[in-house]
Amino acid sequence: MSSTMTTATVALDDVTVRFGDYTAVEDVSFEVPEGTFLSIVGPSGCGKSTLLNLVSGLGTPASGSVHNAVLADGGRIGYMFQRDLLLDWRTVTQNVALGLEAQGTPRRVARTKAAELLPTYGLAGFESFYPCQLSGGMRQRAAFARTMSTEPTLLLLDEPFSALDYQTKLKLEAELLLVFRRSGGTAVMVTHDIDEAVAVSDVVLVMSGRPGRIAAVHEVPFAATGLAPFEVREIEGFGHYVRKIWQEIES
Amino acid sequence: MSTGQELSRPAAPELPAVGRRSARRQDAAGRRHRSVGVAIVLDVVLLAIALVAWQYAVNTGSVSSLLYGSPELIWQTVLRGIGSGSMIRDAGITAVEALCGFVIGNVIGAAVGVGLWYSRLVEQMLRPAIAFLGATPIAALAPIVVVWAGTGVSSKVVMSAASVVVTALVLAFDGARGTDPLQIRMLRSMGAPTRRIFRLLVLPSSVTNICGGLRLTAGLALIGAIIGEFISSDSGLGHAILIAGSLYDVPTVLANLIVVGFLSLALLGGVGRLERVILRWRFLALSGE
Repeated sequence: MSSTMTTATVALDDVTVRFGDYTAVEDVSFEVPEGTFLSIVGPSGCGKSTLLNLVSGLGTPASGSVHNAVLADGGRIGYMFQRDLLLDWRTVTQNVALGLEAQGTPRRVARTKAAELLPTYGLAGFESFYPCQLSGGMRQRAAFARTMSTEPTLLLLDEPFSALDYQTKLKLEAELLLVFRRSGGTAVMVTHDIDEAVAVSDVVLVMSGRPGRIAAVHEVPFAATGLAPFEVREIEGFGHYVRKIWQEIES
Repeated sequence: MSTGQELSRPAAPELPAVGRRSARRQDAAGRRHRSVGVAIVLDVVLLAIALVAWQYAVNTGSVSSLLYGSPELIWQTVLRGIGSGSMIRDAGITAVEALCGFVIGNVIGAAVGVGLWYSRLVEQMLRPAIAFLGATPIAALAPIVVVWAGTGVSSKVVMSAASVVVTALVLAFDGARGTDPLQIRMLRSMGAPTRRIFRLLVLPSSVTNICGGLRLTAGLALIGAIIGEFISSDSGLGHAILIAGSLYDVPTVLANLIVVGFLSLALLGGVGRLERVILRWRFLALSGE
């Protein structure tokens, strides 16, 4: 992590969100310093996605404040969803170019740039494939490349790999998330996968459900080791963190 | 990758050949496919059996050829029509009318249908009008259309287009409305204004439905043109059918109806080809891989 951690890219202060009478999130405060990879874990229905929506500027809290420096500066936010949302009628290159085309980059320029990006995300050779011809892992690679093509200042990830098999997930953690983290990017990831959160994040926020509150905050050292996700999972302390977070969620 | 680990990754496979021919293969649902040739042979055999039976019944006198015609009489009518050129001319005129109506109706219907995505207010305003038009028997309009558009080709084109337009509109609108909301949200988050979301996402999302509309309305366009010819005309297959019908000339009516059938097959064939080009990505998925 960089030493200039004075600026918070995202800051939530005492936030409560209600949907009618239902309180989804209560008294939540946290900061995401620039260059930090923060994960939010918790049981389903604990308001994880609600928090992510707040950060992205969708929805407003009933009380408390949300500050997003990227939004305030007119910067770019990149999204990754559980579904890859690739457009069926576009080839891999054209799908990756979508982010730039959405911003108004001329089509040819966007597609040239997209084609240059493909090898970085392990998509070389798949340029003219349609999404229906790709495996789930390749589809998420394409979705990630599309997200990164717009060079976002902040990356928001909503269970990005939860639909993938274990082996593919570890691969993508290594090739996409850890690479992004090492490049100094700031990210907020929502996941129910504790292993994943501990392996790739700098900070793990543990939430308890109904209403969603922050149960614990952990600074985790594993992503900074530079080890591959499957190696990191072998480190002794790793299991300790996972068990601890597991218990915090359960209680 | 910069991680320095050599992670095994499958080599890029060859793109699957589109429309490759094999005698036996299975589709995605596991149904076994033989080549189209088998289906055609079966069609011809069944048709031949039916025609032979019909002709036999007429020859033995158990079916009246005056009331029901016979394959032989129909065949002679076709030969005569082709010989004199009248049937080919009629078919050509009807084909042009139906094709013009088909194109105009679908272009207007698809444009308005997709365009309705832009404004919920306009959509709700037009909703009763669309339902009203959809329930209007176009045939009932034919006499008025003749008054408006004259007795020439243009009134048949209007009839044909009118038969097509509501179906095309409703399908196109459903397609546009069915655009994945999460994909819209994604494009919005990438900074696309509504106009660009429409061009990059909503319009192409609707194309599958618009193609379905083309297939559905091919027959409707022909029917519209023929109804137009029924009301007032001096040529076209509808005209020929009307004249023959008033003379109780059963073989000529049936012969012309067969030509109508072939026109519709040709139109559908054209639509199918167009679809394979426009929805290329879809046929890749269906071709197996």
